[in-house]
Amino acid sequence: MTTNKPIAECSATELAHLISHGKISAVEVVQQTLARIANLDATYNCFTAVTSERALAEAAAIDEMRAAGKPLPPLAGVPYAVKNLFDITGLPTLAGSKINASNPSAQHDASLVCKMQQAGAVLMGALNMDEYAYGFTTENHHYGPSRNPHDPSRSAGGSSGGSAAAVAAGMVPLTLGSDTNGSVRVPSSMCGLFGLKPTYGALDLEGMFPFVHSFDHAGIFARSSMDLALSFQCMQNAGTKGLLSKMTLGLSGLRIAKAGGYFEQADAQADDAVKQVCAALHVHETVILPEVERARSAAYVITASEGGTRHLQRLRTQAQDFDPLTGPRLLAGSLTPAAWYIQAQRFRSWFQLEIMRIFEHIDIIIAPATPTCAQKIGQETMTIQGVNMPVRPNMGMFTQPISFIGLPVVAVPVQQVGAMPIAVQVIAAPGREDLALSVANYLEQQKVCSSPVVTN
Amino acid sequence: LKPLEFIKPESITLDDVQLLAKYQSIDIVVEDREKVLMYFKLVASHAQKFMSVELDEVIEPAPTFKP
Repeated sequence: MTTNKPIAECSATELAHLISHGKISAVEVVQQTLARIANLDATYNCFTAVTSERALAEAAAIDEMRAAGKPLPPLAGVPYAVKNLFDITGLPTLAGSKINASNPSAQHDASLVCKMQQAGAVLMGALNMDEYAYGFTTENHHYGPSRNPHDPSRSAGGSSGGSAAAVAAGMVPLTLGSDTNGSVRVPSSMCGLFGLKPTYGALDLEGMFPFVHSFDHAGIFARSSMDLALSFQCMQNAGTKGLLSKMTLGLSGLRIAKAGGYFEQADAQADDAVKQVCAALHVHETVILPEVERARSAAYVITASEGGTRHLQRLRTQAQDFDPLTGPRLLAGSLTPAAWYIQAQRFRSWFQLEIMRIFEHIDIIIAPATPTCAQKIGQETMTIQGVNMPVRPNMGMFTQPISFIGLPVVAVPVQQVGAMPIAVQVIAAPGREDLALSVANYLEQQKVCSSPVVTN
Repeated sequence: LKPLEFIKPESITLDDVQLLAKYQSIDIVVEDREKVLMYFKLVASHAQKFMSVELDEVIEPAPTFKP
């Protein structure tokens, strides 16, 4: 060991620093990472494929660059993994399904995998998810559920559950996922992580198996806001130069409000997390977003319709091969009348205009990420403020209205003694990831938000 | 937003769902029919929330095709 801190507890930024300064080799980091995955994954079921050979080769290339005195890229030697809907050369892109397992292997890496490789990051493998990203719990009947490192009897959240659990357990410091209705923010909340869902269109989706064209985003999981910013900057073509330096400038002059009304339907723990964040940020203003419940419903119908239509041919011929939690939902969605879908998209236009008016006098909106913390795997219902509701669709009730109009969000984790973690959404105007990340960084510096490695 | 009339989701029947499935060339297997009906009613109950209000004529659907 050449550093005092275990590799598993190092952030991506710290690892890149250690490797670039020769404190540890990239190959040694990969070897330790492979050993940790082998040791822990039987418990948490995060990985559906581990790309050991590729990882060792990529790490060796980084070590050779350093030995040759060449400048190293910003994520040199940092291990990461991707949700299994990202194309990885030589592997079939499962997207959580049994059906895709018989597809030919990908001929190329997804665009974001290429960008991570250019940034020096080392790909460790592919991660479990809800089938075709249609779920908030990663209770996958083909590949098994991903389990929460804070309590393996509980869900890791979804649909990027494997991505979240792998970071929470310290298997890798960074993972990529996707977020259509909350699939980065919900598992960030369940597993106590920092998660970034950037502005719609900010990250290239080429080579990612699609779900709902209107809402699909790529996103990032990490245990620090700086790691989110660094990897986001590496994956963006332009527009975030200086993001890291902006993040440390403080919050002076930032107009921050708490979302009221619809967003006050969370349980006591989620509400307390919002209060802690608002207290640290000295937030006294509450803003009511108009017609959020209708916005969430429009997101639900667009998701059902676009998702169902995408799989129409498979539903006609291979219905029996779908996960029982997704097949009937996709089938029902494929029957959505066109008038409902079009009116939902009209409502989306209306809602976006209304929310942009709010951003004329507010910079950041604070809202809960989930109505409650991670629930038991297999649990069907939960009670929030005396209302009994199904777990699986309602974990996204606070995230859906935000991705509906593509706003950037950082999920920030609040750890509470003796309780499961829970996250809060830091929401900004389109293109203002810098503001949301600055707030996340401030909360981390103030120790209101943190994301320790956990293995239970 | 002005209120508008919309169907009652609970009035949707299995026959309705099977007819819609027929238009999509889908034959719903017997064991899935009740689940599909339940999920379709759920979609309808969400649709009810935004179909039961009137939007201004000038509001166009969100995706804009820009050649």
